[in-house]
Amino acid sequence: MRVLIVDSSARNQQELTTIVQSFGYTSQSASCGKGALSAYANFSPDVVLLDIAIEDIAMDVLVAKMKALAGAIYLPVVFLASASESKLLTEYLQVGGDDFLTKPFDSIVFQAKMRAHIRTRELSRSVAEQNRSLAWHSEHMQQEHRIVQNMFSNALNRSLQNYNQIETYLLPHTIFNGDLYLLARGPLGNLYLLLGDFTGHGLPAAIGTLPASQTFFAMAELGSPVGQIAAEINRQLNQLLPESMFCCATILELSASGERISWWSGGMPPAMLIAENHEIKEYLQPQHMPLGILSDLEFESGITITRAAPRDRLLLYSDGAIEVGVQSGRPLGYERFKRIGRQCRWQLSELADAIQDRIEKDGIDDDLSMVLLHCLPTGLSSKEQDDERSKMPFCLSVRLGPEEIRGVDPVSTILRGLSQIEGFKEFKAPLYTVLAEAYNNAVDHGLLRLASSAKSSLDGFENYYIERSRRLVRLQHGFVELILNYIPKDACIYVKICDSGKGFTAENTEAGEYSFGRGLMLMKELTRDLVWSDGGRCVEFTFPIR
Amino acid sequence: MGLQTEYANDGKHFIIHIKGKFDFGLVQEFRQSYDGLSDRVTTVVIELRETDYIDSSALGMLLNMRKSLGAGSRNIHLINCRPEIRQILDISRFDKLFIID
Repeated sequence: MRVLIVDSSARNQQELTTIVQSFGYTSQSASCGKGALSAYANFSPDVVLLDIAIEDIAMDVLVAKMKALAGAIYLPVVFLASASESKLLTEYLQVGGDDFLTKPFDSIVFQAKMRAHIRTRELSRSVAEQNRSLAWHSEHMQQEHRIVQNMFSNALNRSLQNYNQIETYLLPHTIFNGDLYLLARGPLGNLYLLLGDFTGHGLPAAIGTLPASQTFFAMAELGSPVGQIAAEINRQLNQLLPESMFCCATILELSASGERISWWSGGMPPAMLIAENHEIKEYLQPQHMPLGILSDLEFESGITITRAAPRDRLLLYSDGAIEVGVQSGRPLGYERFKRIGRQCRWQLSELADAIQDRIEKDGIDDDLSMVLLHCLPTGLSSKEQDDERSKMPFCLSVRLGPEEIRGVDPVSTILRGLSQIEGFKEFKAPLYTVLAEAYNNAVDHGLLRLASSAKSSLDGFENYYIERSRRLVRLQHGFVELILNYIPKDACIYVKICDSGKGFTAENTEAGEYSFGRGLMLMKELTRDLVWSDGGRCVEFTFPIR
Repeated sequence: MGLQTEYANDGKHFIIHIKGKFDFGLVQEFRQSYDGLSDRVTTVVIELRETDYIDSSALGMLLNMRKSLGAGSRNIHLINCRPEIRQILDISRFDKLFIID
């Protein structure tokens, strides 16, 4: 323990040194204020004994400087005075001193006071230590939160932004939102939406939003059905979350036309379909358990399809909206929520203002989300692939005998190969259709001699295909040849398909025209220069590439 | 590849998902899928989002379904057609007989 003695009299210094050292303390002396301040740095005292007769620096300034040097830790300053000066001490104590001792010194009182001040200083030191450590932890946590928050916003910024047919009011209870709102466009111009509510709030509740959102975006991009998206998110959350945690959610898809809502809902308050006249037309009552509870096998992915009229609106909300004021004993409740909604004519901004007023009065202790979807054509176009088309010409020739015709599906196989070529994917469907029509004609009518007029009755249609497989099994001879010739500069594929059958006679050409009518119509529409040759055994056409 | 069916939660919609290729390979399976449909079903939905290819035999199968469900007494929706599939339905004027969306 170090005691700084500040006294102008050498005799007093000597006396005090003796006393202080007898208590087992180290001491250093200074004879003026300046000396005391300069001694501070090297000696860093735990107690300062200060004679009130020091005059080179005003007492209040000196005390303040000493205290400032000690920083956040309490530095006891004890004034020394003779008995005659003792009436001045009250005054001195007001300038910032902590105690006083009067001469002649009573050793017992002296020691007791020193101990008391030293204890206070120890206490103050440990508080300062704890404060420093708290401050460090708090800073550390804030930094971690910033990082995690950044990760969340990165994960969620794949969500479709500024989409004008959606209005939202999202009010997280803490910086981490346990409510999850996601929006994505599907490949067919359809719109996917998820509104979820994880149990609890804050970081533990928000953790599950990471895998859920990534799955949602990936599956929306593929155009997956809503039930499958729900099943996949359920599987992940069931694996990830502790048993007491789950996610209430509504996942929906609005068709490109804006007329069809396909939805899956578990554990959410019922979304409301609101007509143009502001009446509630339909409630989307949740049909399922929340996500993350049931195993893959138990999970029910059943959806519901709801038709929406133009200018219908769908309001989705988390239970935070109806539980405003719960903790102050004045819950808003479902009926009052609807009443406010009607009063606002379901304008989201007005509804949000009304809810905000409630929150200011009655408080809130959960995340709150409201999403209003306008059921109109989505205005999102289907995704175009604009790969540059391959410039490499090629010719593909396939000749199939009875064995291959029975065993392989040449058109699918050819298409699988062709769709690997740059720019071919986008027209693989119509190319499939025309090749399949021509190939099936060659097999059915050329090799198998089936009359397609048989297809015209209800039973005939199925019987036709039963007969086809019967004849195919028995087929011994013959072939079908497909030749595809791709000429990049013409932007065309020239196709020739021949068979070894008997060809068409005038008679069955007519029958053929009639029976494969629909197929023929497709071929005429999708190709150019469609001609038969070799007595109907060969068909040739040009497949133009956009 | 193939065909999957489900009833929607309200029991009014019957949904047939067709994956991959929609052609005569599915003739029997497709017809059986709507045999003995519950009376509650008002709408049959053919979900085509995962249909890659379609040919005239599929068109025939759809027309047969329409006939056997009593043309017009139940709605048949062809939904989530890719543009290429839509083009083929349009050429055949299926929009007059089915609700395409």
